[in-house]
Amino acid sequence: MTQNASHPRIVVPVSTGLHPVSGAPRWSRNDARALGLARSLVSSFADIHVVHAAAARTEALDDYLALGVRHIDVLDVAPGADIVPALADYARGADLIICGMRAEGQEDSGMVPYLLAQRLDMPLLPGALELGMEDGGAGIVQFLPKGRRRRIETRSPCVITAHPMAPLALKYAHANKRQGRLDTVRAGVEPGAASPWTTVPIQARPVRLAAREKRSGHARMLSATTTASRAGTVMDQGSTQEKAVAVLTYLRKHGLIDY
Amino acid sequence: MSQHRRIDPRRPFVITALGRKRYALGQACLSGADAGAAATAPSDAGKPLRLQQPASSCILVAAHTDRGLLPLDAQQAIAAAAILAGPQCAVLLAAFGPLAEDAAPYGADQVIALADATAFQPDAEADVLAELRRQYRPTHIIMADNDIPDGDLGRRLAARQDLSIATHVVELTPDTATAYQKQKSVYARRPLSEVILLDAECVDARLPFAGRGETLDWAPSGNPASRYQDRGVTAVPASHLSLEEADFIVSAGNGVHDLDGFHALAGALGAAVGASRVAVDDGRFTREQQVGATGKTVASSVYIALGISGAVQHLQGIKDCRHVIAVNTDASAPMIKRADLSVIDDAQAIMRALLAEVGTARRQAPESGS
Amino acid sequence: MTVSVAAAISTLFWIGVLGLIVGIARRAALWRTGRAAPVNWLGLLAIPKRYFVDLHHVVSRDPYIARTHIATAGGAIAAMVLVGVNYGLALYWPGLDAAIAIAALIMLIGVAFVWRRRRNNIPSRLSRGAWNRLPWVLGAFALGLLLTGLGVGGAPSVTTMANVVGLLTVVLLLVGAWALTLGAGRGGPMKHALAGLAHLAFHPRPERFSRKPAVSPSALRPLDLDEGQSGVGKPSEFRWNQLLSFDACVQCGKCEAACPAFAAEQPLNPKKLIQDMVVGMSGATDAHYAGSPYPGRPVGQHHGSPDSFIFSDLLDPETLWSCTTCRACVQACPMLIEHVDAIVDMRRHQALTLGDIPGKGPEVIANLRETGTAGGYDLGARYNWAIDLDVKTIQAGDTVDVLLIAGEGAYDMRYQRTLRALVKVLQAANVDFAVLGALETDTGDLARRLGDEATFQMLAAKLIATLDGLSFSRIVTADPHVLHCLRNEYPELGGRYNVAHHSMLMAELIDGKAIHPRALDIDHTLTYHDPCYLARYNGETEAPRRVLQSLGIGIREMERHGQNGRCCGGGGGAPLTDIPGKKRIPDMRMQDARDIGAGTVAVACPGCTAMLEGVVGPRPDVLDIAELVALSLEDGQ
Repeated sequence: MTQNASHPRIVVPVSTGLHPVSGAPRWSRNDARALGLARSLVSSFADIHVVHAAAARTEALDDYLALGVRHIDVLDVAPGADIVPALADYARGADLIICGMRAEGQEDSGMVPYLLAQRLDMPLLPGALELGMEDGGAGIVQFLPKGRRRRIETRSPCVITAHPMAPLALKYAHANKRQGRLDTVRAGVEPGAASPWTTVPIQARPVRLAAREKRSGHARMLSATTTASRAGTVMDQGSTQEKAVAVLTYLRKHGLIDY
Repeated sequence: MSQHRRIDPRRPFVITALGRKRYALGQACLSGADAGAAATAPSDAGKPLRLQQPASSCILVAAHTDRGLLPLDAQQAIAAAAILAGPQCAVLLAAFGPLAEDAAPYGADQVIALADATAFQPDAEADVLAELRRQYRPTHIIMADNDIPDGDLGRRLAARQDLSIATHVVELTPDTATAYQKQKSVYARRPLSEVILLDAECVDARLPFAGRGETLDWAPSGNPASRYQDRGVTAVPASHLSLEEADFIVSAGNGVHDLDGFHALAGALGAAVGASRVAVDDGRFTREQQVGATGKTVASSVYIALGISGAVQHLQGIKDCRHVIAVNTDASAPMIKRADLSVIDDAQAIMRALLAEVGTARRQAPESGS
Repeated sequence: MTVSVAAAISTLFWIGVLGLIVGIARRAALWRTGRAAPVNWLGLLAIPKRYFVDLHHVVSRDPYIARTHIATAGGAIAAMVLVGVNYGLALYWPGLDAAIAIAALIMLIGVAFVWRRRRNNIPSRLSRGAWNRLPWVLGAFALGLLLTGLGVGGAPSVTTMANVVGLLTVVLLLVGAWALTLGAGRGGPMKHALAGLAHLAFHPRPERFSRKPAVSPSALRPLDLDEGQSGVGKPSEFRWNQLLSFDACVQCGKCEAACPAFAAEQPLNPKKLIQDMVVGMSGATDAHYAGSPYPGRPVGQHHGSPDSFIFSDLLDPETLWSCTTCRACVQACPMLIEHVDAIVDMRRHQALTLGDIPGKGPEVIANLRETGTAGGYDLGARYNWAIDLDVKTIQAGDTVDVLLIAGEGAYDMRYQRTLRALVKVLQAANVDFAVLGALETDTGDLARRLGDEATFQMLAAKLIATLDGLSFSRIVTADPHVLHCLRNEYPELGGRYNVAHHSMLMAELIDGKAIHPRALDIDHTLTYHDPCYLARYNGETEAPRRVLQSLGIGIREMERHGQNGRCCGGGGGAPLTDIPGKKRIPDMRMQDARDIGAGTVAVACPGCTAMLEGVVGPRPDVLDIAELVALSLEDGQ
């Protein structure tokens, strides 16, 4: 996959993340990976259009400047409004739109890249660890679980989502903040539909959906008290070879090896 | 004879995770280990059918198979559908990829197997689901929210058909779906949406009933050109994987001195190499290989701990590991209490024996294409 | 030979003066590539006091070389002054000649001892090369002065013998003159005389010489971030008097011998670091360096120039990040060079301009920025360890005597035992104290040592704002890093507090009979490990020892103790950047304890506790002095 000789128009939407413990606004680690993928295709951040469609906050945007971004367009979207139309209008005409897979402090549904791709009628390559462009097309190395990877290609323009485990080559440097700037762009405000979601403070862990069943009180007690139990087997008798065979048998029994 | 039931002084017990015996009263005589196994693995045989009446509606479950089997998150999606489905609602499973097992025990009533769907063809798969939706009019479409492939497909479908969707659902009730928002700082709840993508811990897949498991003969009507070219799947060698990603880890502690043998075993198993803090501080391994609270937190399916005593910080690092196998000379080490299978023996001897056994097994096994 | 020897010597003298001016100018030109800094010309007047008092304190630790230097340098200066008077002014008095001879003899004796030091068993910390040639050069000069003083100059140049001797005298004097003037200007060993004296006058940290300095001599100085200051990326970004200080280095290697990272064979050698700064300043390569290299890095592969970036042509990043900021090098240096300042200046550039910090550094700094804790913890959980101890949390409007600040150690399970012990001691003494609870955010010490001055100033501003809204007499902390930050570094940022270490407080409580600890019965040897940030950064070595002694414990001192203590390896962000070496620094410190047969090591810092507890294998126990005091109060009182 060779880099595009001409200059692709790359748009990277970024969002504000929240720290999982303190709730402080900060740069989204996933969006930073998207920025990193974009940066791997061009010679400088000046060639990337970074956009922030704000339902509200802009505090974390300084963090993106520290990561090296020179310029962020802030779409002034009213709180509660749908950001997808504004983003779609901004990104129309882009060759590549590179997003994070999931926000880290908003609705966090992971739907925005798909809605964008649908609205702009672009193909979407999800879960990218590496990204490359050829004339008229883009290709990614996609993350798959259990240590596998898949290569997929499609024609540009297209939407790419960056996997959270993509490498992060960007470094946070305060001096960069002085060289970056934010520009607010008035966005056409499309009033959003009333959200079907109701926010509820967290007071207990989620309750697992389980089939109601008629088990004896004893069986329910046992499963309630010993579900965490591994009930591990201890082998201290037998020869070393027998023990090794027992290990292999265990692995086979649980489908962990296929030989 | 007295009416009082004598309490059996050697009544059965189970061993809990902390290594304590827990006595359960009223249990018929079972020895310790069996009782634990019995409690956690209810027998599959002879479960009644859930759907006793003809179905007038259905819930569609879509899942991708893994090497012919339904992975755990797919099982959970099917179970969720089966639990939510009313007495006249069938669970329709659309399985992408070859399906070699019976889906009935998981709760599926009708199964559509699309064995050809192996490559990355999300457009075609979304078309299939759209067509199924038109044809069977499911009340909900339930899938697992793994990022790829099911979560991706579910989102594409919702975007394309403009369907309401709830993603990363952590709590499901017959009326509501709840997910985390704002970096897991609040719950967000909504009435059940058309598409529901489930998080890993949302549903208990164990069911007291079974589905009918009838195979439906169904094929997609169209065959659109795909916008994507799938250039193939490769497996990353374990040595190149970061420990956090590795699915099979062999880990060395203070009790491992034969480093060559250890690395040979890891290579033979195709496993990633980890180490306890002691082994790293001694210089036998690099800091990048350290597993534990100050090292890496790993979530592999298999974790073989050789000669590791199991200090608290190390156990913190492996708390998400599914199967832990411990080899140690000390039967009272904390790692033994944590492990699913423990072997009390010298690590060096076990490594040599295991290496030999793996070598023999690999030679005898047919070439497995993955 | 119609020119008399005396005339030749006179001429040589004035040529020498000229040469000296050229030499100084040449060095000064290099210093001036650096950034501007205020030049206090009055510093020149302070040279005698600084030389004979402050410098003497440091140099007198090595009596052999101290006395040798007095003889050599004293003799040389006396002789040269006399030559200047007698020959420069063309007086040619025999009396002065005699004085010259005596001075030269003293110098010669000194040179003999210099030569002896470098003859057998030359300490590995010394540099070879030009420094090994120096005794010969100085010896030649001394001999020349001696011959001058013996009146060779006055003899009429008639016989061949006298001519030869006269010629010899002039040649010998020439050798020395070259080394002292133009040779020094070109960077030869004798430049240390010029630069050393100038350094005393224009030292970047004049507070070192003051008995009651306005600014702490060990506090790092803030950057003006709004002005765009961001540390040192090229040699020319050092202040000119820092460049001057590098020239003063005599390559004695006392810093190298004291450095824990060097001993652990990490790629850091403070001596070579300073010499590499000279290489950078003079646009040369390090091929002529004749001392110990950075462990694992061969000499001759680096070069620099004033306006080229230091990394990675001149230095490797691992060199910079191996430092634990323990200040043993600064403590040991007889030329009063500030190695740690140079390292932190370079770290600042790497951190602020490039964000290029290795290991877990960036993650921890992000935690500090985003949560106010180094580990990314919940602020509300910092005092969970005290939940059953009935400790008061300060509110706005309260007034307490002592504000106890726990620091990041409060999140570490081992160190929580120390904090609980300290609380028990304070309660037994009825000290009126409170804690900040969830208001306590990190002091930012770690960010500052790693060079991220912006995060440090942000955290400092936050903590100062918190503290200024509360009413207390003084702050007490068991963490010397917190102590140093709050006491020494916050004043320049607007926070002035009375801060004490818990060892000082406990010593006061014991002296004031607020608690009556019984004698502790310890059946094995106990040693006390001085924390770098308490002993070297704050000069406090006595209070902890007094506390231990009042517990009836006899302390057996390790060989390196007090201000000369060996670092545990926990400072300067070193555990985070984790540059590998052949050994581990805490292992070496524990070995020091084993070497004296200690069964218990008493510590006074959470970093030392964590690092020493992390040493594997059979080793002495590690106990904080608070734990020992609490133990002694258990049955007593």
